[in-house]
Amino acid sequence: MRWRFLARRLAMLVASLLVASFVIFGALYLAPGNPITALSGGRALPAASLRVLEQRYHLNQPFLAQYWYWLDNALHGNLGISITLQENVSAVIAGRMWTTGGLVLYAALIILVVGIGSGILAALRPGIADTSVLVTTAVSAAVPSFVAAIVLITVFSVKLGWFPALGNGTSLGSNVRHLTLPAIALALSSLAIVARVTRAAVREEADREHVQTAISRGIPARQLIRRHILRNAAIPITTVSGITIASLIAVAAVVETAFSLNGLGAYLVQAAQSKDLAVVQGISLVLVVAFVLINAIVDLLYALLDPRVALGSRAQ
Amino acid sequence: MSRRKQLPAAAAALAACALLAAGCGRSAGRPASQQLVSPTKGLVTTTPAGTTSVASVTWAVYRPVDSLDPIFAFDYPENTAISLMCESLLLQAPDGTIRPGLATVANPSPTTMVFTLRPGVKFWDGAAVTPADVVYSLDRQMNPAYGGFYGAVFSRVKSIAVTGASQVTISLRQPDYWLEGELSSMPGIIMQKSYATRQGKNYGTPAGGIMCTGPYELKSWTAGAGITAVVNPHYWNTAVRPRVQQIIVKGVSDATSFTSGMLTGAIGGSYFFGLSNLSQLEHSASVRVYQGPGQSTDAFIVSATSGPLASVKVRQALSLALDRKAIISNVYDGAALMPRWLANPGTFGYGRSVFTAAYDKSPELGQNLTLARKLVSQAGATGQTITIGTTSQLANIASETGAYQQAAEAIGLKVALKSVSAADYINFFTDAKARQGVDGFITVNYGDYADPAALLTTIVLPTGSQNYDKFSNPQLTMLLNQAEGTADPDQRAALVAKAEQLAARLLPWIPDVQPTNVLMLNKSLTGAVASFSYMFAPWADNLGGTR
Amino acid sequence: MSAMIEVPAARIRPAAGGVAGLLRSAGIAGLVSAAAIAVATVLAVIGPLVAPYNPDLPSLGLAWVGPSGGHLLGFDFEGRDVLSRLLAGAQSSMIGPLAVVIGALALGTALAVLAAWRQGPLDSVISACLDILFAFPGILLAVLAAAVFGAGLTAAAIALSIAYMPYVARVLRGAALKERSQPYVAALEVQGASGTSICLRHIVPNMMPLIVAQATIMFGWAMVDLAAVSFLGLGVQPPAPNWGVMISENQPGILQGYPLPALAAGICIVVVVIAFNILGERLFARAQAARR
Repeated sequence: MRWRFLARRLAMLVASLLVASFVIFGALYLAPGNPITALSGGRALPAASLRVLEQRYHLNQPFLAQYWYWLDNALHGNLGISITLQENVSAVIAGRMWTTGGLVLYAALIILVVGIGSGILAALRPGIADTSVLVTTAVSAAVPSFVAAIVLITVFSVKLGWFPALGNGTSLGSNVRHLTLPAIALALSSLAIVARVTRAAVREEADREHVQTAISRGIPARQLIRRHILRNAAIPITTVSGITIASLIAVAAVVETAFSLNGLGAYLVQAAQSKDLAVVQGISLVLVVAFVLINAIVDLLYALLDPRVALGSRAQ
Repeated sequence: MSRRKQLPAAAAALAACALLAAGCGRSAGRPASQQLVSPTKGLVTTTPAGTTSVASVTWAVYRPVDSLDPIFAFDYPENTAISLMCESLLLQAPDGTIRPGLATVANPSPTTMVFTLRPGVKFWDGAAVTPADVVYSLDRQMNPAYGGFYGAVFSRVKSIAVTGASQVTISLRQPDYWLEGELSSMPGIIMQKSYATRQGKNYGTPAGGIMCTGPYELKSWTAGAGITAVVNPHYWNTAVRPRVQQIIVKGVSDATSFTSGMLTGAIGGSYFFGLSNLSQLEHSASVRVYQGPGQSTDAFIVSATSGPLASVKVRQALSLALDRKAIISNVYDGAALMPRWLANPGTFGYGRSVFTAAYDKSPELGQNLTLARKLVSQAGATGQTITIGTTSQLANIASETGAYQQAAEAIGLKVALKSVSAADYINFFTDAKARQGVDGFITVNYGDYADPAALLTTIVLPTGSQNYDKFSNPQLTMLLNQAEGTADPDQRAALVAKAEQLAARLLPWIPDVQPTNVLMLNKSLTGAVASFSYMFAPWADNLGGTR
Repeated sequence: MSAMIEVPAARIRPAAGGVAGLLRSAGIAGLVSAAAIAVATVLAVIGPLVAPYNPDLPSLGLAWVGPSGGHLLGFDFEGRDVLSRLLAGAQSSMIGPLAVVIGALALGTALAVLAAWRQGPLDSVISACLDILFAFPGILLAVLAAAVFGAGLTAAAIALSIAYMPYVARVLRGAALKERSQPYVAALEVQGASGTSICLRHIVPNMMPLIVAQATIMFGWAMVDLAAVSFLGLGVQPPAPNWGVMISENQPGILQGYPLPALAAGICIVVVVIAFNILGERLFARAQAARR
């Protein structure tokens, strides 16, 4: 039964990626004007450059053939050339991938540790802890990441000088320092949902009959939390954490712009502003693939953790 | 779930924010800052040389460098990076004078220039600089097939030929006393012929790199990380020993990030101009701010060939309505002069007494709203619309566009804006399609060397590279052509001064303010060049740590 | 983002007490939120008319001046009155999210009800398509749209509607399925009512509390996302007044010691989003309660 589920999930994954890549490629044709105008970003290019573009994108061939060429190239790591930078898009992406990856990982760590931690705290200690967690998360959920970014820079970077304000740093150690404020800004709005769901799930489990029984039998609290509550609560917590972390990939663009980090997201925005379509398509493809993969992994984890899943169709 | 507790807490948070914010804001009527330095006194052209070695310095420019090919270099980021690593035939000294660079020059006749390469000059890879390299580099600039920006400066050149083992001779159709200045700038940068031909179209791009002769060589160039230059161990000029091992030229478009970067030391130095919070940096403990004589002009480029701005009366009106003092205090935080001419007085690199006398006699371009409104109604332009090209991402351009909006509305004109991204702003200068429908846009522009004519010719001559509105005035053209062929510096200065006075009445561009050259350095560094020559000649030779 | 709350199967009971009941159970927080939303909505309509000063005309000599006589929130980086710009900016700041919500709801409800009514292969196809659409985070789609169609509010709003639609459809499909299996539906079918009329006249209205709750919460997300897109320079273009644009325009001031203009715009966004979140959660709770 598990295999059927896995196979179905894999098929969904491939289908998602294909459709997403099709949409990203097709955007070229949705643009006003013809594909050449779109690829040149509305700039006046010399005739020789226009011919090169036509050749590279096989613009004289039918649409599906063009899509196939593009996809084939993309799978081999060739995503075209940036009009503004005159550089290979793949080189541009490779240079910036680690910044975005590091930022998302760092933020994910913060979300997992602080979000899940405060959710558990709120669930198991009602009263002041519970209320303050609820209130803080409610407010932080409503603060856009770029507003958080500005405030963090002002307080922690300029006034207190604890963290640097811009750029990526040169060594591993300084990288971590440079990414701290951006990671916090990125994590802030997602903390709420993770904390809330954790709290609800843990509460629900704590109220369950078998847990109450265990309490009455005198099993120590820590063992109780670990063995009974958390393991069952893990399912919704993992799901929501996974989904939240996947969504970080998109919001990272805003945070990277606010902190002048040379990540994929920041460059995606700049390329969109200068209408450098090849770069926009290339980076979009990479980000969407990452997003879809993370979601697929979350689904797999969900399947692994919840034995009920393997047995029947998932409740939608 | 006690949601009702959310409310008072949220309210408290908001109240705190409000209190925090309410106390801040400057009071009306007092200028945003004290004048930094009088923009005419206390200006320096160099800073004390650094004495200790420094591993790496990040140098900020207003956007990422597009190209390292000198034929395409016409903006601050490209010039800053190229001048760091490459050298030209002649050299612009920090005080604006022209000295020997890779070669010395002799003028056996008014129409002959003989360049003799200095002994021992070589490229980064150790190969000697040959006359063939010189001829190749200059031809590349002149040849329209390459699409370079500086073709027009060679308009009087008849031929360039190798005339000896280390000699190149330029024959001119007519005497041209501007060419030396140009050859001390981007048009005169010498690159290696074999390397450049091998790289072909990729020369000057991240894929092809460059091959130059300077004290720093290109180590790596990644989109987003900037250009990394390291000390050239084979530098031919053994008298120069750079103390900073590595310089990273990085694009920072965001004034906020730039400021925090300088304050925290992430950015070691910059020639960033138009920073409205310059005094904040000057008063900070970690940054030192220097001002040198400026050579750039902050102006409003008129690109309209029809419509209200095609009329000289409307241009004069707009100029009279502009609140320049607000620009000086808000955009430059005091680091700029009121203009009298299009030229910045810092460009008087020769004939100084003649220029200064004429300059002092010319009136300052001040504000007179009544006269301005009269001129507009005389021209019959009341109620018409002008379109200004702008970008909201470059704070100084956004603010000055606002000043022009204010001025236009005050005299009865309407304003529409055409906004582009910071990276695309340069397209207004290079792409006629981008300028379509745009009547004008702000620039902080400069000539290639210290001569008021250098910038003026690009604007007012019919063949000028920055003549976007098809401006043509026979008298101006005649004055400048005559000046180009005048040997005596003082006579040349007199002609150029007359041209400047005429241009200040005709307003092909509207001068806004004359910025000084601002250099910002982290307090731990010293030695960078403080004058505008950084745009054309190596500026980090003496950069190093303090103490 | 709020959790997708599964609506348990339940009998239908009309919402107790109508609007009065809503107000009674809303509590102080709910009332204040509703009031804040009402104010924002009114301003969205008449904002530009009640602005005390011209929100568009720069006056460089007054840049960054603090609150003083008549100018309650001082001036922004170009010397324009901040309060007037906030009032005028309410329009584009509220209309964008409204368009997104309407678009996503219209599409999402239609697809959800269609899938739930027909079931079978059509349901699978629709569900599969929606699952695939989940691959596009809202902001990413908005950036792509801006690159293709040029920066602007329309492209961004349409892109976000499309990106939010799967969430709406997923939640509503579950509710619609449960509605579909109610006995009254079978009774109506037996009486000869057409599928369309049953859907439009019974199923959708019975899902109204859930739809409204979803719309309310979604307004908050849309506001944050659109403000982010405008902050990136890909949505509403400066110098148009808009809260997201005001934050990015006045960002340099924060480091210079003039945080008020940017913070004021940020506070407006945060207040409205919190209000919609609180109200939305109340409505969700009611929708759940009504089904028990």
